[in-house]
Amino acid sequence: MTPLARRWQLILAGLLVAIAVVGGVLLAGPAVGLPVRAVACGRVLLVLLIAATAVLTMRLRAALKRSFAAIAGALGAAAGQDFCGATPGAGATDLDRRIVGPEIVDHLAAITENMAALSRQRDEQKLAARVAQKRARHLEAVLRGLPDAVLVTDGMERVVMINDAAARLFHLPPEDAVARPLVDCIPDRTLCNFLRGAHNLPVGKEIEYSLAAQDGKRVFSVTVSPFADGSGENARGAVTLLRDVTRERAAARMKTEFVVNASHELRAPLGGIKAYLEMLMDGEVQNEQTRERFYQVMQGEVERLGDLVENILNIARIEAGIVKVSKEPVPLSGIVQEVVESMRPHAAAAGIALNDELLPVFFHVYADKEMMRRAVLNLVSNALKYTPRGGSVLVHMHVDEAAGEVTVGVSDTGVGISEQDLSRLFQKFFRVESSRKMASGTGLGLVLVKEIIENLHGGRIFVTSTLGKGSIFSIALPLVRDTQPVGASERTESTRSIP
Amino acid sequence: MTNTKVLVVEDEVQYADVVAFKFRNAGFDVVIARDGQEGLDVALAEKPALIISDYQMPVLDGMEFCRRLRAHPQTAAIPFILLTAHGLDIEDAAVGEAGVSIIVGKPFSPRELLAKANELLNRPRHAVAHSERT
Repeated sequence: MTPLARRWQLILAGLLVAIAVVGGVLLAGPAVGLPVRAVACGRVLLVLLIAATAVLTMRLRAALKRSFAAIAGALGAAAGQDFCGATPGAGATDLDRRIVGPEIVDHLAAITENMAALSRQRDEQKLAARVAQKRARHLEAVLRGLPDAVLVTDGMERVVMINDAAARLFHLPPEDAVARPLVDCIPDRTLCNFLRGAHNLPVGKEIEYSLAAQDGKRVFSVTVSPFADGSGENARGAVTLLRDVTRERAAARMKTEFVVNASHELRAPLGGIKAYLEMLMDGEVQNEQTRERFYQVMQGEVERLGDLVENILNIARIEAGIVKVSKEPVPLSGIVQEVVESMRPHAAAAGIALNDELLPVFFHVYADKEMMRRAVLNLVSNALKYTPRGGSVLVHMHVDEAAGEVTVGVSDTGVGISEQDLSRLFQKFFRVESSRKMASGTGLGLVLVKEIIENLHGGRIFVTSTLGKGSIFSIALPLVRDTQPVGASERTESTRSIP
Repeated sequence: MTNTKVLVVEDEVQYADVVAFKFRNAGFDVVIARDGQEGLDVALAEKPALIISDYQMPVLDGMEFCRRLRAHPQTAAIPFILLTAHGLDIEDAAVGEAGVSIIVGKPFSPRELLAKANELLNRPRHAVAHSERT
C-alpha cells in the first residue's frame, strides 16, 4: 500500500476512533455530570469529526475512481477500444501514483506496452492482408487480361479460375464457371479428355488443336501443366493455357506455299528451255525458220525466268528494308509503251487482244525507270494471266493536270476479283483461290507493285473489279510540271528503307 | 496407212508446241486442244490412240478430263498420259481413281515422253488402264 493511502487510512481510522470517543463521552455525559458547556463543545467536535471523515472518504473515492478510469483508459488506448466509457488516450501518466502505488503503475505500463505491441502487430497484419489482397487482385487482373486463355482446375477437376479469354472461347460467364466440373465447361470432348487427369501427371503436356471461335476456326497451342500449392496431397491442380497460333501457322503455311509457288514458277520457263534445247541437240529441227523460232521461244523463257528472279529478289530487298532507288524525270508513256510492246507476243500466244491508248511522251514523272517498268509490267502480265483466250486487255493513260497526276490503267475482260478477295489482294503471298488453277504465281507481284508505286514513288494504286467481268488496276503518279532542263545533276540516287 | 493419232491437251502454248513438234517428227498425227473441255470434244470426234494432257488447265483440269473420258464408252480405253508439275502428290488419285495410265512430271524431256508413249502404245490395250509408276 502506498504511504499516502496508508496515511489516509490512519487518518480515517483516527477520525473514526475520535468520533467513537467523543460520541461515547457525549452519551455518558449526563450520567457523569458533564458540564453543559463541555457537552456543547463535544457535539460541535463530533460534527466536525464526522464532516472531516465524510470529506476524506469522498476525496479518497474520487481519487480511486480517477485512477481506475485512468487504468481503463490506458488499457483501452492500448487495445484501441473504449473500455467502460473511459477516456481514450488517458495513459499511465494520468494515474495518481499516490493512490495506486508505483508497482501498479509499472505493471500497467508493461500491460499498456504489450497491448500496444499487440495492436501494432495487428495493424501490420491488417496492412499485410491488404497488400496481399491487392496483389491477388492485381494478379487476377493480369491473368484475366491475358490474351491467351487460362483455365485452372483443382484435384477434383473443378474450375478454380478462368480468365476472360478462356471464358469467351468456351462461351462461359467467368463467375458461373468457377467450381463447375471441367467436363461441364469444355464442350469439346477431345480437348476435355486431353485436359482430364493432368493434375496427376509428373510433367505438363502440349497439343495443337483447332477450335471453333467467334471469327471462324482457330488453331490453338494447348499446354496443360500440373501444380501443387504445397499445402498437402489434396492441393494439386492443373493450369491450362490456350495460345492462339492461327496467325503463326498461316504465316508458316504461306511461306511454304511461297517456296512451292516460286519453285513452280521457276520450273515452268526452265522446263520450256530444257525441252527446246533437247530437241535442238537431238537434231529434230532441220528447218532454219523453225530453229530460229525455237531460239526465240528459249530467249523469251530466259527473259521470263530473269523477270521472275528479279521479282523475288526485289521482294527480298524490300523485306530486308533496303532498296536502291535512282529517280529522274522520265516520260511515263515511254515506259508503258515499252512494256506493252514486250508483252505483245505473250498476248498473241494467249489469244488475247492487247490494246493501248497512251499519252504523248511529254508527260513526265519523277521515277526510277527500271522500278516503274517492273510495276507496269506486273500489271499488264497479271491482266494477261487472268484473262481467258478471246478476251482483251487495254492499257490506257490519263492526265489530270489540275491535280498534277498522271494515271496508267490496265483493264481486262478477265475473271475479276470478289470484294472479299480485293481487300487481301496486296497481302504478301495472297493468291485468289479460284484463280489458282488459271495461272501460276508467287503472290508477290502486286505486293511489289504497291511498294514501288506507293512507298518509293509517292503514288497510289487502286483496283476496281467485277467478278466474272474483269478488273481495272490503276496507278497514279505525281506529274513533273517542268521537265526542262533535265540534267544529270537532277538525277538523285538514294537508298531508302521501307517501313 | 494412216499415222497413229495423238491428242495433246495443254493450255501453255510452248509445251503444246514442243510435244506436237516431237511427236510429228516421230511420225504421229497430232491434234491440239487448249483445255479439258475442248479435249473431250476432240477426243470424241477424232478417237486418238493416245492422249497427253496437262493437269493444271482452265475450264476442265486434266484429272476431271480423264474421269469423263473413262466414263464414256468410246473413249474409256484410250491410254492417257498426265503431265503435271505437282509431282507425285496427285499420283494415287490420278492413277487409282481418275484412270490415268501414267504420270509424267513437268518439266519433262520430250525424248523420254515419246519413249513412254511408244511403250504405252505397244502394250495390249487391257493392260493400259492399270497403274504404272513412272
